[in-house]
Amino acid sequence: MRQLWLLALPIYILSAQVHAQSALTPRQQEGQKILMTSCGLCHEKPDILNPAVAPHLSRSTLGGHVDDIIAYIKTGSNVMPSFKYMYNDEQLRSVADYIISRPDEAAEGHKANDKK
Amino acid sequence: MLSLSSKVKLLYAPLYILSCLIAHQALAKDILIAGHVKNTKGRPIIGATISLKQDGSNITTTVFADENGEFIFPPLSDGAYHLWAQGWIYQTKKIDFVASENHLETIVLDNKTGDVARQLPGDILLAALPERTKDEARMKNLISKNCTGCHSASFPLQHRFDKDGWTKILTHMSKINLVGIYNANRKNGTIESHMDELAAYLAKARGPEPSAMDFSHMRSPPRGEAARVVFREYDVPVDTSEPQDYIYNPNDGRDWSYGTPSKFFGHVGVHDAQADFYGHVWFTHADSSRTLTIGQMSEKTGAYKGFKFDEPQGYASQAHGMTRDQDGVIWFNSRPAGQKGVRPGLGRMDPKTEQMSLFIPPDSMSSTSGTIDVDSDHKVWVTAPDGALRFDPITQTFKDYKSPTYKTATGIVSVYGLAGDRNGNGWWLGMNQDIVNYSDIKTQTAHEFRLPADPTSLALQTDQEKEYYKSFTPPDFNTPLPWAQGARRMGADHNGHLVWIGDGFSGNYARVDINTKAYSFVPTPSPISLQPYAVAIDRHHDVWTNFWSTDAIGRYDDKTKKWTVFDLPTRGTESRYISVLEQAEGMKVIIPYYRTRKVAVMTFRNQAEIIKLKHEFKTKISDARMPQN
Repeated sequence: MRQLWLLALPIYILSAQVHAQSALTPRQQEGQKILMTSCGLCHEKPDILNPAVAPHLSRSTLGGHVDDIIAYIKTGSNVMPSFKYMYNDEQLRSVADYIISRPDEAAEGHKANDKK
Repeated sequence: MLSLSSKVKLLYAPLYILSCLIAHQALAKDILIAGHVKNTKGRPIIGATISLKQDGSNITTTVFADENGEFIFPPLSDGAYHLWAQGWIYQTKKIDFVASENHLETIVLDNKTGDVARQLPGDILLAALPERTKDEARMKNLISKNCTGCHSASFPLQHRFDKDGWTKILTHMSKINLVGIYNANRKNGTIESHMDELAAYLAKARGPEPSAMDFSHMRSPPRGEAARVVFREYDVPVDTSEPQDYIYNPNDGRDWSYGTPSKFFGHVGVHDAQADFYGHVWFTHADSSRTLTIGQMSEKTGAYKGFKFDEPQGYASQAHGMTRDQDGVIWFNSRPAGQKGVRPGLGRMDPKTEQMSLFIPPDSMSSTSGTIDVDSDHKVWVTAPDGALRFDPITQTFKDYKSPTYKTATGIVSVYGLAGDRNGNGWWLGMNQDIVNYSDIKTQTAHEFRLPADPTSLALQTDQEKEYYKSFTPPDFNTPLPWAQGARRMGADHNGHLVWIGDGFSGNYARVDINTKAYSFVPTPSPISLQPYAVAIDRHHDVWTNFWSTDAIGRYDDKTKKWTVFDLPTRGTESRYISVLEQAEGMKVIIPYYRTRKVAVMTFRNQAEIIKLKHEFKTKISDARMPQN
């Protein structure tokens, strides 16, 4: 019985994720693509055994305030570069819109790691 | 010796895709899809890349526009399609259509506005980095050798930062190891000792001010033979070992305008790949997972199967290198997924029965390491951390060959590439020290020679740098000396007397005579930017390589001394391997994409075949207005 459940699990996950993907607005999808390109290196988990080096980005990031997220990406921090030469305001807004659509700790192991 | 017969595990297949495809194919009929691509001035865009994906399929088929801007796909089944057309300096165009008969598209591409560099392949960006002074050339050399070992050059160079921003990127990268893991205690002497001038140089090239990059000598987009090939790219399902935010990769490199994607769990890992004799492509999964050691894709339907060796705590062993023997058996090296106490071994997959087994060397020998090959005597060679192991599939015994030099004053010699030659000898590479090792199976001994420094790079170094690097201990093999050849992976000509080494850092092949050990260097068309990684030799003695710094592969014809570059359709391929399968119906070139988790199969078409297809296209659609040749 357990084996049957295991076989069905990927299909269930797939269906659920397809639904989650299509629930994004076009702007959020745009932001998601940018995040996958420029933010993932630090903010996503590099492999199954290691945590991300930078905080998980979610609806709780900077209190979920879009303007604050945009300002942060434009300014950077003591370890994060400013992305203002790379992305325009519209693109940054799409990133922020996508970030606040994400649940907290969506993926297990996404714990913020402030080792830097 | 311990031999483990494993229980092959069919992990999961996207059954709904398969069932849809099977149901569809029962009713499908073949159609032709063709068209032409032009710019806004009506001129043909030579080498434009046109890709098609049928609704619900995980296979992308890509062709290129010829000198008239025309393209034609091989026969495909009727149905709903997503088409996208791209050019290096053009805006991606997407068209959805339903085709029940032959289908013609006229595509107009707008010029890309804004930062075109973001969508260019890595070698174009690398080649365009400024070198107006000796110091600029020195920085360009450092970037070419230090920023391509783990990722395509397009990943960093798509970005624009000021000097402060590049300093932060370089600081971060100095703490990242060769598999992308952050370690605050890691030291990268090359980055640290050049931090200020590297950051200033990068900001000059990719910063807020007008760029100092020079694109005037950009290589041509695909044309001729390189524009007649067909690519089929197979999406490997995202690893769902752990909860994922994205089951599909929203940026999987298909739309170049989104740039080269980042690397993170579940979306990468396809390392080596081989086609079997039965219409499947097999690949190794070089990322820790709970579900996958090696995978199989059906070339026809894209159906996927995963197989694993179980490890304690629910992990699946990783795999890295892969080869196919003369009988069609797939061999691969299996290694722990980060669990202590699991000894690496040699994996065997019989594609006919899908039975998988694991052979582990005895404790008295070294363990297996990353790459693998079969010699002409049907013996399987696999690297060890300090040499190579020769496995006899009949007696199921290993023989251990130790590298003559394992340790030097500046660190351990890391073994990476390997080949088994026509004489039954093994060759393996001490990559970080450019040492070429080889066996003598008659005397059961191992020998070595060292490739000389790359003179072009050496001439750029300051006296201070030369002094610094005398005691430099590389943190890993992807942090080389500035003049390193970077002897990465290699291949043997089983119909000839040569082995070929992909010298990634200096951008050449080392061509080595297996009998005399005499060697010479063959530069790629652009050594600074087209850097060979793995090597495969076909029956015509042509030498194939995947250029690790970019989204392209190359073929070198040793008789005519000519290179042909074939562009891959995806941005961020980061290919680590290349293999060929030669059958009566033609040759296939197999290219695994590590960063974008795909496997690609390239096939060839000659001019006559394309003319025949165009003829069939015209005769089937009376009102088709194909541009005339």
